[in-house]
Amino acid sequence: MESATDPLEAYKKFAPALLRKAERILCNREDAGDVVQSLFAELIQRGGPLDLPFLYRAVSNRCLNMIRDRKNRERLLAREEPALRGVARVRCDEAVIGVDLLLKLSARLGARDMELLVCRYVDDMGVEEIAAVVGQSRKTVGKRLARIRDQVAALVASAGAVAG
Amino acid sequence: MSAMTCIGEPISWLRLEQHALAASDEVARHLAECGACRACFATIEADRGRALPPLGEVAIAAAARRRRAVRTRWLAAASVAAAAAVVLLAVLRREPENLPGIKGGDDLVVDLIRERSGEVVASPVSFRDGDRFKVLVTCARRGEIAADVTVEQAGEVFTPLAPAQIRCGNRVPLPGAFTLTGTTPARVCVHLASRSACATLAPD
Repeated sequence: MESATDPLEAYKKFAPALLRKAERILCNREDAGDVVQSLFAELIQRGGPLDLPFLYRAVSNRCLNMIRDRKNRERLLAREEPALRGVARVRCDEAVIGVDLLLKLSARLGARDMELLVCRYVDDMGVEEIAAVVGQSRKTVGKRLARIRDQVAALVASAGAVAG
Repeated sequence: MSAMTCIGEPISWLRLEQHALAASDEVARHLAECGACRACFATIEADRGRALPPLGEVAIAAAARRRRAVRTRWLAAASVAAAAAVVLLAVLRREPENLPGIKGGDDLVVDLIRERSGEVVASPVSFRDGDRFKVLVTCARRGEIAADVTVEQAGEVFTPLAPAQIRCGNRVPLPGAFTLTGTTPARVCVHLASRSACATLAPD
């Protein structure tokens, strides 16, 4: 249903959705544009699956690579447009996961946990959908989300202690 | 950002995007009852006419930059192995300061890419209000180097892009892009260490 036969067709069809997704994670249009363009440039040159769920996951991972790279930290914070985060329906202990929290959590969580974090709290996926996307059991996903919630709570509490 | 609460399990953004491409009865039923998910879907609908950035030379250049980075990591690993061999042989050899295989040798070269209403042009010589520009540099210095971009126009100097750390190569794209306005010529300069190179654009 949501697949294309060549990268240029996929770009026209899926790039708006992927740009919106990258903007929700990075909260800025320029870096989001770079992420999506570089993804398709690679797909044009190397090939790869062209269905929306795969591309969605690829965009997550590219955004998270950008967030993990310390050199990008200041730029991402400086360019942040909170409005691009969009409507937050799933919150983690009342905390909305935005760029600042993602940057801080990237120092505490591994790449796979960060991907789950984005699936749950940015993409608003349920446990079953996440399990299908990342290819793990619901039980494993549930356990890892519980660990992630603990880390977010610890981070939010420490930030509150500093602020207080 | 705003926070809203779904009446049950939210329809994920991925499923909302899929629904926008091919309607699903299940999603439609949920949207009919849930204001939070409906608000999310409305943002997708509102974004429908969005103009896509052209997939042209800019994207190809970004892919080339990534491939170079991978190659550089391989080169780094190979260099470590070579260095170990060199130590064993007690032979010390100084590496040249510049990378081999760079067009123009030691020169710093600036290239621009212009996007105007979806049309991408390499090495433009003119601009109109609202044109978007990407900067590519060709340089041969080893290691990371700071790159700054300035635009001189009507006696004023602007810095449209954040300073970036780059690794030299052929036509390395600098992060970000900028737009030009005005009716006087603009001189776009890249400054790398103590070197500078410029390209001049005349108003159309």
